[in-house]
Amino acid sequence: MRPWSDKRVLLVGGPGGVGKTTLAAALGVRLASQGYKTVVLTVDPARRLAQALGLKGLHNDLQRVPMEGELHASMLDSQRYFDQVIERFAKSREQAERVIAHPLYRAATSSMGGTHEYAAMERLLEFTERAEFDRIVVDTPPTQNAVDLFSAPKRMADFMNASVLDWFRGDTKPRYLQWFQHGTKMAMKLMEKVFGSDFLTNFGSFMEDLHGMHEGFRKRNLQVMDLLRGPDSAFVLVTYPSEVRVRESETLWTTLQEERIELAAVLANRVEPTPPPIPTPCPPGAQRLLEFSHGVHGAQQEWVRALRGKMPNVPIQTILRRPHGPNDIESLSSIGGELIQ
Amino acid sequence: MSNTEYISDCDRRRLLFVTGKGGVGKSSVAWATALAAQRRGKKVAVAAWKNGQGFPPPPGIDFIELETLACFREYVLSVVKFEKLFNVVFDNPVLRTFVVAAPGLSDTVIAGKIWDLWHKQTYDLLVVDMPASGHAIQFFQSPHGVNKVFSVGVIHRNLVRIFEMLKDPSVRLDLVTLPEELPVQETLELKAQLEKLHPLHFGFIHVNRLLPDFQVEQEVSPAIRPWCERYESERRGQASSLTPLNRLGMATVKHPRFATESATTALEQMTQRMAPQ
Repeated sequence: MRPWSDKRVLLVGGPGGVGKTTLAAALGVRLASQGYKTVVLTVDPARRLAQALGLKGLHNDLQRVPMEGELHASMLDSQRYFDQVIERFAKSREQAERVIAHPLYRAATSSMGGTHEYAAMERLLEFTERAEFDRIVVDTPPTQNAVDLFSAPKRMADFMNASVLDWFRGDTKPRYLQWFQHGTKMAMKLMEKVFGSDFLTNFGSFMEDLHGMHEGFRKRNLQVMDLLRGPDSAFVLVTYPSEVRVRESETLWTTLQEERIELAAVLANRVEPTPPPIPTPCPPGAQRLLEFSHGVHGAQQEWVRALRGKMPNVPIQTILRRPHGPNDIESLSSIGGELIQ
Repeated sequence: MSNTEYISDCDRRRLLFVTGKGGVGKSSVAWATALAAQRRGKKVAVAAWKNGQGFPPPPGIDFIELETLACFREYVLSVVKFEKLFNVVFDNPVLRTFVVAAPGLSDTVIAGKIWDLWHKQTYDLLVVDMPASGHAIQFFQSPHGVNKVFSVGVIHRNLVRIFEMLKDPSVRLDLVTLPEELPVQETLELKAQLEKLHPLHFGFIHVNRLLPDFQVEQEVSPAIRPWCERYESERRGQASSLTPLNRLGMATVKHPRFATESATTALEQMTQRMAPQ
């Protein structure tokens, strides 16, 4: 196995609230200072990332980070970006305009819950194709389930799939009424009763507008999976040494194995340093504090060991907790140094 | 407000939504509240979204999984009594795509399920362990969006009832946060966004993982001084990070950082502080 810093694409992911964004930024800073032209890509409104990198705010466009070495940051407004994707996959400008203007469009994209994930994957492909960067670090959206991330293009394709469309297509108007002719009168009545006829007409026309676009999404899905399964990509799992997070990490690891995506490293974040031994004699307040500190430290170490036991062949690194959170390039660089020697 | 006073307020409620940013300990607060209420003699359930964080449910409390297709099925069958017909129409992969993808439908049928549990008074207290901020906003927004999309039909009638339920004084919404600058800031934003959506009854702000005050002495030996100073400075930092929360006019419930990383142990300690045995 190659050292993971050699991978061109690093997907940084894990459960919510474990410090993914910070570690993604630290990785970016480290790789850039080692001479790789690097881009850190985030889809969240990640103010933390912007702040730490010394940027005023992150815009859709690439921003150069003020540091030695070449590091760029890119944040996506996923809705706007998704509109661009629709424009690209549409057969004509008219089709794109129709889809984007459709009353169901905003609602449908947000309720599929995949626009963030989709935008991340699409943007990643864009950067790999441009061959401009040596290293691409993706700060993945806080997804409950890793599969949601990889499968976003597939879900989009499924949604626009011709078979769904077939339900609503036909030559009679309104189109959904074609069901009647297939002898599914009862079914249609039920649908109407549940959803209301307005919605069915609306949905039918929306699906009609999307006609022919699923092919684009389907191709993207295959490209994304090829890229992620390829030798140049790997997943970096960020976690925290506790019962709940360790269990979540295991689940994520299983998913990665099923998807045949290499897990390059597990980063157990915010690990407490070893407290000093309790001196004798010790004043009672300080004694209580030290006992508490040893308790926390011991508990964390127990779950670090559990992590090692459960994922025996994966490199597991512990990252010390910074009491005040990294808020400049220097502190990110020091974390980065812990990550990659 | 003390944690025992907090749990007394829960006696007056039948439905409690708990939300906050990802990773702040929403599930811990939800389960501890449920457990404490149960120890006070209530019949309690916790409802959570499918794919939620894997918290081990303690015994004695019902767990209800809020899964879109199951809630949809239950909901439609409560209106149309023909199960066979339902199966013919909806046990079809195409329609399944449709139900999952139709705008706001998923959140609306889940809200319908919550309404049903609340309305039937199956439980004295139902605690809903909500998804993280973004999805929580989407959830409370969904009746508005769906209201426009489904102007007639069964779904529409369902909505009217959900709006009524959210206004009811037996329903409360709590926010969970951490004593750090960004989570606090995000809590202020979350409240502002939620306020715009419904006349919700905001209850408490839960602050998790507060470092305990051990009353550390001024004079300690040099070997442990840096450690104690680091701790104390961090503890003061936590306290000052909470100041902006005062603007919200919501009572705060404080939960300390426990010297454990086991979910069960932490849950027990958090519960003990609400309902001492």
